[in-house]
Amino acid sequence: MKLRKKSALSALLAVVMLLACLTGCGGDTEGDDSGERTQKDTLVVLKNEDLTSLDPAEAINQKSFTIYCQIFEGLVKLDPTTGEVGPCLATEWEQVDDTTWHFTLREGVKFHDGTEMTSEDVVFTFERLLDSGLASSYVDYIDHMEADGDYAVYMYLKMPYAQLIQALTYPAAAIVPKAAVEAGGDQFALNPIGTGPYKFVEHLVADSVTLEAYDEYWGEAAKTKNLIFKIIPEGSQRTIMLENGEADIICDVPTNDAARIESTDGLQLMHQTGYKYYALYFKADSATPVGNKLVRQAIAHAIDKQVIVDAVMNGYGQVGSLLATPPTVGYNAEKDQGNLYDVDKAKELLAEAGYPDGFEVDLYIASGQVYEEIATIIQDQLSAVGIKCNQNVLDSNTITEKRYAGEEVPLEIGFYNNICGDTDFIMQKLLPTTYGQTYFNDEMVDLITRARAETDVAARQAVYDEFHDLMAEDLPQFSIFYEEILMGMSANVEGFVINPLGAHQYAGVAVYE
Amino acid sequence: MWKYIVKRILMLIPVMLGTILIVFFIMDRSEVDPAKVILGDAATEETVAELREELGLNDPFFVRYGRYVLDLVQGDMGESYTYRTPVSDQILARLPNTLLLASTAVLLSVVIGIPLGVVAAKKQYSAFDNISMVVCLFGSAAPTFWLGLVLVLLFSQMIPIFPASSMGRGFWGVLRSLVLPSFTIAISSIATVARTTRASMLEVIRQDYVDTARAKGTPESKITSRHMLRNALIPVITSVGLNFGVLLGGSVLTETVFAWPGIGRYVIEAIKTQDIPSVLGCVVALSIMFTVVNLLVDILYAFADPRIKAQYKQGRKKR
Repeated sequence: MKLRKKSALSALLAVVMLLACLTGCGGDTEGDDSGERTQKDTLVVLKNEDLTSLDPAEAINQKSFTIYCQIFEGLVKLDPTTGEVGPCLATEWEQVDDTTWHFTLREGVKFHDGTEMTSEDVVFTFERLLDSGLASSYVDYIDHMEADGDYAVYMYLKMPYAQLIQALTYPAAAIVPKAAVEAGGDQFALNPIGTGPYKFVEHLVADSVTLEAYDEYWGEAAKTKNLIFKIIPEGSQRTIMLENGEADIICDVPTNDAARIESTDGLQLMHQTGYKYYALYFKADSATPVGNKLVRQAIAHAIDKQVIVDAVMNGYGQVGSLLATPPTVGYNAEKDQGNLYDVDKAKELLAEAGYPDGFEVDLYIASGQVYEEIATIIQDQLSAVGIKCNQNVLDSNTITEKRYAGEEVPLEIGFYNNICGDTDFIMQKLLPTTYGQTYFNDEMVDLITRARAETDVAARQAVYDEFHDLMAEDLPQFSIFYEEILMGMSANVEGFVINPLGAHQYAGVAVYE
Repeated sequence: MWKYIVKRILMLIPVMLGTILIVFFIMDRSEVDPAKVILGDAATEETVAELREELGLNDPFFVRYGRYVLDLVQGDMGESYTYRTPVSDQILARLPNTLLLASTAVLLSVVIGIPLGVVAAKKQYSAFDNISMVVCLFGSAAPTFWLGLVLVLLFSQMIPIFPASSMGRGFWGVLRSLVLPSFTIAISSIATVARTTRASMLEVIRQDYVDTARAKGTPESKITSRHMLRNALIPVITSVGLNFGVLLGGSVLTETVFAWPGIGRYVIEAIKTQDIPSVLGCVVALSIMFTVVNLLVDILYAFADPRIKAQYKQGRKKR
């Protein structure tokens, strides 16, 4: 008898719980009868990974700066629609001489703690970056900073650096309040204070980040009051949540869901080529046949890049050959050879290099679906010209370690995201002095020095073109395709613009019921 | 009894020292240099050397091990290489979520699995028995990842009553978002618990004392709950306990599918990025919990079976 009572009770409980769940979700679907659109006060954005830190000096990775670039701002700002870099916390700037720049700061800018931004904060920000092991190599062109009154600073460089303004769009070059950072110590990352349109509210580890519009923002106020980033690692789940209305915008749409989002009523897909390219990297000084540039050229001709884009990225990607993607400063469509696929030419080059029957070589791949799929196709295509690839799937750190140690990593599939959006940045990676380098060509030093000294944009492009030609000849690496940034969103989202680095700004975004 | 518990807790110390030593050794064998991992793209020869010094990576193995243990005793698990914040903060932020998910799943498996097993055993070879055991077989065979996605498809997309992913806010929000992930995990444990209960019950069901109880005129419900189930519980407790211990480690797949901010995702992420302090911290936290759960299971035995309780007491008398 007792048992029966208990089981009846538990059944009742189960029903109550189920009902509670059902009524709980009924609340979300309030209709709007007025006919006029009402704007939602909360924008929910889904990301695939949690941030590592909200302190710009501690985190130079996309998963973090996509969020902290809403809270912080730099001296200058990229307008993704025009591709031009314009004023932000600096209203104007001037190159005083080869290595000295003068920035006039915006007056009346308030940090989220209510204090005013002055030249002291700007000087402190860059000195702090220079002291940081993590960030210093991104700003190592700076020698020192100097305040010029309360609202202007001098930036003294170690060498001429004509691309400075573009380089300052780098998300970690964000101005932080000196007093708050010094008072906060390690806690600053947990309670970040910037000048941006959104201020920090809460970060639930591995779950979400909540931001709120800053009332005293110096510029145009954020269109939506609350901005919530949720971390949803599984791609298909992000798509489902968008379809269910649990999210307004989703980042990193899986390419196999992209077409579905595009064709679903009430949803929209935005896609645009960004700064990131997938590439085949060579150990240019390899003892294997890959050390011969003719062999590298042969490999470049043996690969049909379009097949890779179609099969691996479901067509969302742009075939290209340059080490700079279209939105990157220095890209030149005329120099872009696109798909070089030509088996006969590849065989010819191999014969010329002395390997008419091909050879066997190790291909290193960081574990991950995209890489492994690309590798399989490349392996197959290279076998057609007699090159037998042995796939080595390892974690990316182990491969990097092997490369740094100077071990043989003849072929490697990877990607490069140009964090400053200027060709200068990849050139720097290919300098003979760069750590872990396998391509030693002093011509690179000459090219980068000339480009950095050249203040005339057209003349600098001519140097970049020389660089593209040199890469096409020597091929220490070549692009397979330029990645498209895929963003899925509800059709009721307005004002979203793709940033080529992935540092999309949400202040101008509005979402309607 | 208390002496036994204290002894068991003291046993934690050598277990922890050994566990840390093993993990420390494995992580040390890795070819990857943490300094380079941290610096990534920004690595230069000088910055790597500086950071190695700063992190104390140049010290001998046992010096680093000793330092870690000493810090740990003071509650310091070190700083995560990835997040640049104390590992203990990261663990404390995620562990409650894993605990909630694991406890719910275990609760479900007990509440559903045991009655299922009891009924199946009492009505052996009936239609109910056959059907429920086939369903259980399916439940324990279905991969969690697939099961999770199917549940999402059914209950978030086709019949949208539960959120597809992400932990909700507030009591009802959390409860609603808990349903799908906890069932995803629980289904295989329900199956295990039901099958174990059934097998164990079948052994007990034909015992003489059951017949005696019946002859005494004890009501059948009482026979089932007191005489059969209680005696059949020991293997079930073992299976539930072990399962709970495993679940505390975080179900990586379920946490990934449902974006549950638990510890499983953290461990995997830390292993992938060679975030050694985080890996160590998680292993320490999980070993402690695993040991505590085992202890609880042993204590539960005593409650389920007076003979075991008597053993504990005997041990005390001997001394």
